[in-house]
Amino acid sequence: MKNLGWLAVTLALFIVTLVLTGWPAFKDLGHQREWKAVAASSTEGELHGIQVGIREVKAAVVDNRPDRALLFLRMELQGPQSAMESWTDCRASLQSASGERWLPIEGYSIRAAIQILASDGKDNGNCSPAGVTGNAPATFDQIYRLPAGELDNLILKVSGYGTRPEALAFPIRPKCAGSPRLNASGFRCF
Amino acid sequence: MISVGNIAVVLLGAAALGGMMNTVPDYNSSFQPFSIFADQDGIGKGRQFTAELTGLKSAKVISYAQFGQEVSRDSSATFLIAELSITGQTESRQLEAIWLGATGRQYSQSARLEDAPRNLSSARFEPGLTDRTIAVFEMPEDEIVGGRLVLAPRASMVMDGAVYFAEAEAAPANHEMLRLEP
Repeated sequence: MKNLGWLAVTLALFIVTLVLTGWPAFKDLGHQREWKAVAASSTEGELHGIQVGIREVKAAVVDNRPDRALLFLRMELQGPQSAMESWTDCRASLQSASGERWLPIEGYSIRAAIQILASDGKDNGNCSPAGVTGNAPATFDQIYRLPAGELDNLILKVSGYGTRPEALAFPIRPKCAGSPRLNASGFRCF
Repeated sequence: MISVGNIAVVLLGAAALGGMMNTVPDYNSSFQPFSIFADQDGIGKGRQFTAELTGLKSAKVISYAQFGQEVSRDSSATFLIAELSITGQTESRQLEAIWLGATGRQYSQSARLEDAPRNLSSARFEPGLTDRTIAVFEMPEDEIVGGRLVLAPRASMVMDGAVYFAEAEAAPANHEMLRLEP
């Protein structure tokens, strides 16, 4: 009976050690993943005190590579600075029904396409908490490169390090990019 | 007698603990990527990418155009150019390559050619899209034959896979001047 008691104490201490050492790793993993995605309407959502709005979604394919598309996405963030600081960073990724995930492109060469695809010809830069002051909506522009066949069924997930594993999930329906400038630049509408 | 037995058990436990502490692998050797070997056709499938080694070339001088200006790089050693075709699998990802030389030395990609067209250093691979890219190394010529290319996700090697391609059995086609095109 006495031995069973020692075994029980050993088991309990082992479990406590496991939880104490594993919990920070589990929390850190949670900050990387978006396990709790909350479905938002097609254009508006709120997460941890920040209002997120989708303002423009356009897609175009390049004539010489019809299997791939560029998707331009403009969104606005608005809320108190303290709420934005709790986000720490801002991630806006596209996800397919089968779980593939596309991140926004940061390379300067392809960002030139934003100026072609945006309705006002401006590039407001990738989503960043620093740009959100609370007084007015802050506008951000993302561009993605993905297979053209995936454009019909995409989910946009928006989150920050501090909000994850919670995230906002927007169903995305890109419009055709039909400006004359596009044709001159080699882009083609659907 | 009992106390002698207890002391022996404690000493044995301390020796076992000391032995374990001294033989525990360090962080760097514990967290190496898994080794994945490419098949005989030169195609390797990692967790986040599929890569095909389509060719190897060597050159003394490499040239290319950047922002309308001609750029030329020469070397007192040899440039080795690995031509790859890479498809992203689950998530947008950047990759890095190393060349494990015939003598066991490890060569990183040449930082002098990072702005060359289609260079792996500036490429990012998207799920469902296949892109051509090159990895350029600078090394003594005798490191090429018997050496091999290794490809792994950049900055995320922990618990991930590195693709090992087959050893180079013959010297690749040598170019005095190699032109890199977009």
